[in-house]
This record gives sequence, C-alpha cells and structure tokens, in this order.
Amino acid sequence: MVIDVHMHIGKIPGFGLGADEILDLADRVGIDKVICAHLGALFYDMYEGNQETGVAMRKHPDRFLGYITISSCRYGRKAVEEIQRCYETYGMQGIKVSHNVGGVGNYAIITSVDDPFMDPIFEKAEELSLPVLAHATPDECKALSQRFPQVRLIMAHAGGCPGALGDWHKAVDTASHHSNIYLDTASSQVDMGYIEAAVEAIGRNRVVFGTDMPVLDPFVQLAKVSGADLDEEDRKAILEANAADLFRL
Amino acid sequence: MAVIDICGYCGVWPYWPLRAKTPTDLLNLMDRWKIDRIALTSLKAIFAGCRDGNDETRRVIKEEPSRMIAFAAASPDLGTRACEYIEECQHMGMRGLRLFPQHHRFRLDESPWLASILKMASKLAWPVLIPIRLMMNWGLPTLDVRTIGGIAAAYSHVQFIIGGVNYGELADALAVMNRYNNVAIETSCLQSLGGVKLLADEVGPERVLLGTGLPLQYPSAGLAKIEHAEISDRAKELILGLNAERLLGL
Repeated sequence: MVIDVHMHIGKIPGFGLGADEILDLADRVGIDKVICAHLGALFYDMYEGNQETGVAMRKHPDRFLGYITISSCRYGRKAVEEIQRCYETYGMQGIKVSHNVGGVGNYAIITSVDDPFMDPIFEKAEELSLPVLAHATPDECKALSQRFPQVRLIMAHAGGCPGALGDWHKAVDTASHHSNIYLDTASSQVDMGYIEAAVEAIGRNRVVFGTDMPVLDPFVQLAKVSGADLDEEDRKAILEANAADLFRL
Repeated sequence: MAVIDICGYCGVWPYWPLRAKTPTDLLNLMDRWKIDRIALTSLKAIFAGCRDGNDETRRVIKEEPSRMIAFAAASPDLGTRACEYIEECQHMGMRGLRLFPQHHRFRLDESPWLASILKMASKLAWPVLIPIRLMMNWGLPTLDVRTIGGIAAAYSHVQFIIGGVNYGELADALAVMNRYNNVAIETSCLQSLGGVKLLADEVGPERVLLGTGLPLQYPSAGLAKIEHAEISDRAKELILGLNAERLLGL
C-alpha cells in the first residue's frame, strides 16, 4: 500500500483539484490513501476549506483523510476551536500549518509557524495527539520541537522549499537531534541522495512519502523514492508504515 | 531509439559530496536507468574556470566517447581569443555550448564578448544551452528566463535550449518559446503536474528535450515525468532522444 501524507484539494490561482480528481490521479500513480490539506483553507478561508475537506472524507471514507488546515498563526483561539470542531465533526487526524513568504520569488518569511501565536494550536495538537504537517524551515521546526516535544511534527518538504532555501542538509540534521520531527519527501527538489541521507541519519521510521499534488507531478515524487538506494524495508516504511502509524490507519 | 539526456554534469559539486563521483559512477547510473547517451559539462567550468573545466569535460568523455557528449562552457574569462578557443573545442570533439550568466557575472543583453561567441556557435551549428538554474534547489541562484528571449531574437540562427525551468518560470519560458522558434527547452527541473504535456501541447514535442541533471538529481525522477506524461508515444520518443539526435547532428 502507498499512503501520501502531503496532498491538497481545493483551488488557488493556478492550481486546484477536487477530491474525486485527486483520487483519480492517485489511482493512475498507484497511491491507495491520501491525506489532504485544503489549498483554499491554507491561503484564504480555513472554515470553507475545512468544510470541503470534511465532505470529501465522508464521501471517500476508505481512501481520503483530511488535515485540519489553519491559514495563519494569527487566528489563535479561533484556530483552536476550528481544530476541535473538525476533529469531532469529521474525525480529521492531523493539522496542517504553514509559514507565509513574501510572494513569488520573495522567500522572506512574513509569518512564522514558530510564532508564539502558534502555541495554542500546538497545545491542542498535543492534547488530541494529532500530528502536524508544517510547511516550515528546519529552524522553525527545531524551535517548535523543543517547546512541544510530545507533538509529532512533519517537516513538509524536508527543507526543500523556498522559505528554507532548499537546505535539506539542515533539515536532516535538525531531525537527527529531535526525535519528534519527521521528514516529508514531497518537494520540487530531486537532489540525488537526499532521501538516502535522511534514512541514514534518522532511520527509516521518520521519513514519510508525499507528492504535494496537484502542484507537483506525483510520478516524479514516487520515482524519487523508488529510485533511491534503499532496501525494501526502508521503502515500505516510507511509503506506508510510517504514515499508517502517524495517522492511526 | 537512443535515450539522450541533454543535461548532465561531471566533476565536483562544491556544496555537498555527490554519490556519483567518477565517470564510471555516471555510466553505471546511465546503465541502471537506461540512458544511452548524455551531454556533459564539467562543474569545474562553472565554479573554477571555463578552460580548466572544459579540459576536464574532454577527459571525462574519453572514458566512453560513444555515450558521452561534451558541451563547452564559455564565460568572459575566455578573453579576447574566445572565438578561436571555441573553434578549437569543436576540433577536439565538443558539440555544444553552455552559458551560466548567473554564475559568471555577465548579462545576456550587455556582453560584447557574447556576440562573437554566439556567431561562432551559429557557424558551428552548436546548440546553446542556458540553464536558469543548475538543479532544482531553492537555494541556488536563478536567471530570469525572459532574458533568453533577447538573445534568441538577436541570434535567430542559433538554437537555444532553456534549462532548469520549474513551474514558477514556465509561463515566461513558454512566452519566449512562442515568440522565438529557435528556442527549445529541457525538462530537468520541471516538476509540475502536467508540465511536460503543457510544453508538448503549447510549443510541440519537437522542442522539448529530456534532461535529468545527473548526477546532481535522481535520474529516475527525470525519466518518470516523460514516461508518464499524457502525450503520444511519438512525442515521448522525440523528447527522450530524437530531438537531441537532430540538434546534435548524431
């Protein structure tokens, strides 16, 4: 079985698929289960986006699981209420958060997931034992990991994102010092050897497979894992077992 | 049909150690992933100097000249006899040119030395590959793809190849290619869903070439985007090798 921990439904300018389309694409690639955040929730209206995610979960209970997506650290108590609501109403099993950068070509981070405003969100994650997929830099994840060592934190893109300037070395090093940090393989970056380096440094059990669909080509993302110099136990852990454990599947 | 990778490198990567260090390592990867031929430029040419780097490229391809194709790098460091040097490179078996403005501190639109180089490339019928980034890593400097349009217009008899484009630059790259027929594109950094199909539909598969970025990037990833693209088998053949054969006169 293949489980993708990093996908999106919903629309933003230039990208967007609904749940049915995402699952059709997953079928083409050979992905069995998807764990999705909502693009509209992330970049616009978290209530509307989480609602749509919940509907998708009900329509595809065996294959589609949603993240409670939080659009900004500035929502504070309202974000905490939204997490509780989505957990109770839909059974969502994870939280998605993101730093915001200045815009295309401008990688300066303008709101950080390490901001103290995020603390209530992580306290709720800890209370409900929900993993958090964080589009965040290694430094942001390190700081969060130290404040919330009980929260399982998935570093989206493993440093391979604009805000982190592509620094997967730092991501791997950070994860090697913080046992509650996981690394997600979804990234535009296909630097040869980075997945092997992650497994060598932190073991096979904290690397999880993601595609970042529909932004990125899922065949490329799967080919990174299948093309890496890993043994079959490593691959099985990355593609299935670790996600199953994280999300109680 | 031979699978030809238009975007490969050899040498040392200064930012971190590579898993594939030697020509033998490179050939082993090519065998494993069924890449028949690869066009190479030495990373030394980018980071330490073109002449020394081009010498290294020529040494590397001697390991297996039937499978490795040398592309020369050029920069202002070549000096006033740059044209003669490029012609010598051709006599030594090199078949194309790569330019790295963002690494060699020159601009595509303000470089008199470049005019003489491109005239020589035209004379030699060399394709000119200009990577806007060396690999798809967010930390590396990138070139504005729109600047390639300027020289494509000025040197309409030169076949340019845009390299290193990802989804953020794709619209600009397509605009350049739609305007100038002498511009093709390689796929090493294009990671967007449907990206290869979009290129094939918009500008034709005849102007798209396989690039993997070996040994900097996973070759499996570079091949997967072509093999699984929703395009015809004929289009895949063109992209995977026939276009490179035509451009390189193989």
